[in-house]
Amino acid sequence: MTSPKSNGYNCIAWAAGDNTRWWWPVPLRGLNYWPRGIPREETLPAFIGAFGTRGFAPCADSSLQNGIEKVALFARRAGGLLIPTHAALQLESGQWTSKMGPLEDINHVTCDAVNGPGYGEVVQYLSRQRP
Amino acid sequence: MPLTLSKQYESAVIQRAYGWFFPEQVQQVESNFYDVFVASTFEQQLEIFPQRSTDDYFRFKFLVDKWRLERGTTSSTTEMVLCPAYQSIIGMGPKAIRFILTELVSEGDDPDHWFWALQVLTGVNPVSEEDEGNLRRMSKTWLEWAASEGYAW
Repeated sequence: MTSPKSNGYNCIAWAAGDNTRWWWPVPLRGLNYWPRGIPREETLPAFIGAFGTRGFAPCADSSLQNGIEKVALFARRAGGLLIPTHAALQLESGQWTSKMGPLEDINHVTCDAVNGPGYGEVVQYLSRQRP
Repeated sequence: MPLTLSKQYESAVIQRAYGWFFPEQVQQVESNFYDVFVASTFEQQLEIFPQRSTDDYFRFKFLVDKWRLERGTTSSTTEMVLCPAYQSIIGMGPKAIRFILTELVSEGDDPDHWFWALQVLTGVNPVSEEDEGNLRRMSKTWLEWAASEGYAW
């Protein structure tokens, strides 16, 4: 555990480098932050687009690369659809960090350590130059 | 996704909530009361407590605790507000507005995700686009709006 619990930001925001806002594509306005111009829909392309506003682009895998920062997007499968659920951020050490909803941040050794019925599994990796 | 709770943990939540209003009665409650309670369905649990004027706020506090357990570690606002307990709070109608405002004040710098419920219950959205997602600013905005509308809490 690497922080106290907070309602102020979620895993998507944390992975995108923002610990001041809760990111989620709720169509109802006045609730959550979602990057302008990105569809407010719970789809993988929308989440990839949201991270794209922070310089992330799809990449092949979770391998640790010097100077490269990676995000793993998780989703649950529901009736043939992929519903995004979670994002984890790779640290320079190669470990991963996840904000557990409204609860604490945690570090985990492997990306898929948070797989399960709640978050589903990793469906897409993204990367950018480490800021 | 609803969180599966251990019987012991859910008993502790109920005991704490019950003790707020009936502290003198907690010791007198039959030992199997909590076993019966936690074995009940959510709807049965809401009906168990007698109908008295203090029960609205007690019911609200019970639902708040239940909601925080149900939502678990989800980051999805959609999943969060669709939790049965959150929907039941909205189902309390306008009387829940004052309870939610009280909760926001008590939460201080870490307000919870009450804004969907407030929008549904009041029919308004006083939050600017710039403040979307910043729960502290949203809480401040809602409390200022409520005060200007004459809400008391």
